[in-house]
Amino acid sequence: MNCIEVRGVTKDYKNTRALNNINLTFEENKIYGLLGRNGAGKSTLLKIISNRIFSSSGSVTVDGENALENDRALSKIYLMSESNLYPPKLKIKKAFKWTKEFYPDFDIEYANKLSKEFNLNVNKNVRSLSTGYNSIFKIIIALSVNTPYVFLDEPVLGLDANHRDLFYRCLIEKYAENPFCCVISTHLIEEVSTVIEDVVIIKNGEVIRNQTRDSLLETGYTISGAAGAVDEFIKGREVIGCDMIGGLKTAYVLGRADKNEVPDGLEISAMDLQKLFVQLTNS
Amino acid sequence: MKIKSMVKYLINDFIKGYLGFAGAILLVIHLGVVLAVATDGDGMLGGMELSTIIFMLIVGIISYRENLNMAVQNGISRKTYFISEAIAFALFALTGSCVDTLYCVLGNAYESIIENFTYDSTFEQIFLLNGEVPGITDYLKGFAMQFSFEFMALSAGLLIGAVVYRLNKVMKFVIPAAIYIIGFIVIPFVDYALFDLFITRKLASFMKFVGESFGHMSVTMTIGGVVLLAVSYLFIRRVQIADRK
Repeated sequence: MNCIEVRGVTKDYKNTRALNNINLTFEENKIYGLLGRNGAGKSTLLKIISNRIFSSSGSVTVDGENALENDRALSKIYLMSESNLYPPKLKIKKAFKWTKEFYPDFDIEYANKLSKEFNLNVNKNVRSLSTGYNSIFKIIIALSVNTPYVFLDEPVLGLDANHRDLFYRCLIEKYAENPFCCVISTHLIEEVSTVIEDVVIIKNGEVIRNQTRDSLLETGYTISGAAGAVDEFIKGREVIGCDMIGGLKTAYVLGRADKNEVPDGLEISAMDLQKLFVQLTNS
Repeated sequence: MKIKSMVKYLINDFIKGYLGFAGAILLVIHLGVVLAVATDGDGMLGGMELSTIIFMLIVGIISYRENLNMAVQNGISRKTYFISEAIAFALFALTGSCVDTLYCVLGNAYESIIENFTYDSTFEQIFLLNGEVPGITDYLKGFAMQFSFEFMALSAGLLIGAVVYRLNKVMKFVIPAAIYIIGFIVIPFVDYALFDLFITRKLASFMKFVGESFGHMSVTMTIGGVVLLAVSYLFIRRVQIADRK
C-alpha cells in the first residue's frame, strides 16, 4: 500500500528532545488529524517529513522511497505551514504559475476558482496579505496542488468563521472528487473532528494515540450528575479527568460503559474528541 | 525535470533586476557621451564591468535565502537547488559578460567618432597600452575575463549568503568582525613579527602571477568560483530551513 512511513524519528534541539522515537504510518487516501498541545512536536514532525529540517535519527519513506533529499519522493508531498516560504514580493498569480512549474499536476483553474470564492486578490503580492489571507493563499495552493500527500499545519490560522466553513467544505469536496492523504494539524479540534478519519495525538514529543477517530471516541465516555452519585459510580474505574460546577460533577472515564450499570440520576454520553484530547494531554 | 524548473525560476528572478541594472549602465555610458559632447573637457569613461561584478556578488548574497526557501517549499532537495544555482550562475555570468562586451564595443565606437571621449573597459585598462584600439581577439579575451570574474562573484555571494543564513544575530556580527581582525590585523602582524613577511611576499607573488596575463586571471577566477561553489555546498547540504512568519 502507498503510504508515508515514519520510523524511529527523533529530533533533538540542544537541551530539548522535540520528538522521541516517533513511529507512524500515513496511508494514502485518508484524512488524519494530527493533534497536540503547543510545543508537542506536531510542526517539527511535519517539517521533518517534508525535508525542511533533519531528524536527529530515524527515517521517513514515501511509497517505499527514502524522502531525505529525494526529489521524486518530495514531489509527492506538499506542506502548507505557518511560516511562509514564498518570496514576499511574489504576486499570488505568479505563485500559482510557479507552483504549476514545480508541481505539474497543480490545477491553476481550480486555484483561481477558489481565489474568487475566498475573495483573494491574485494581483496582490504575498507581503501585502493579512494573516488570514496568508492562510487562504496557502490553503488554495494546498488544495490545488494534487499531490498524493498534503500536510496542513494550522490551516485556519487567522480565518474568520465563514472562511473556515468554506475551507472545510472545499476540503471535503476535493477529497470526495479525488481522494488523497491529508494530514491536518490544528488546535480547533471540534471543527476538524467531523472531517478526520484517523487521529494521531502527540504529547511531549511522543505519540500517545494513533487510531481511528471512532475507535478513539469509543475508548471513553462521560458520566455526569450529582457529585456524590458520580463519585460512587467511578470508584474502581479509570478516570482521566473531572469537571465540577456547583454540586454537579462530570467525570471522563476510559473504558466501555454498560448503560445498564448506570444508576438513575446519572447521565452517560459519548466523550467528544476535544474533551478526550484535553483529558489525555492534561494527565 | 526539477533542475530545469528551478533554473527557469532562478533566471526569471534574476532577469528582472538585471534588466534594470543593464539599462542603468547604458544610461551612464550615454550620459558620459553627452557630457563629452556638451563640454570642452576630456570625457573619460571606463571600468563599467566592475559594477557588474559587484551586482553579481550582491545577487549571489541576497537571492540565496528566498530562492532556497522557494525551492524547499516546492519539494526540491537542497542538492537539486545547488546544482540549479550553479547552472544559473554560469548563465548569469554569460549574460552579464555578453552585455558588458557589447557595451565595450559601443563605448569604443563612440570613442572612435567623438574626439574628446575615451572609453576603456577593465580589460583594456589592465592589458592594453594607452590609446591602443582593441581588436576582436581583445573583445573575446575581455569577455572570457569578465565571465570568470562574474562567475566568481556569484559564487562568493552564494557562499556569503549560505554562511550568513546559518548564523544567529550575534554571530552575524562576530564572524565578519573576526574575519576582518584576523585577516587585516592579526595575520599581517604575525607575518611581520614571526615570518619576516613570508606570507605577504607569497601573496604578492601569487597576485603577480594572476595579473600576468588574461589567461592566468581568467583561469584563476574560474577555479576560484568553482572552489567557492563547492565550499558553499557544504553549508547548503544540511541547512535547516528557518521559519519566516
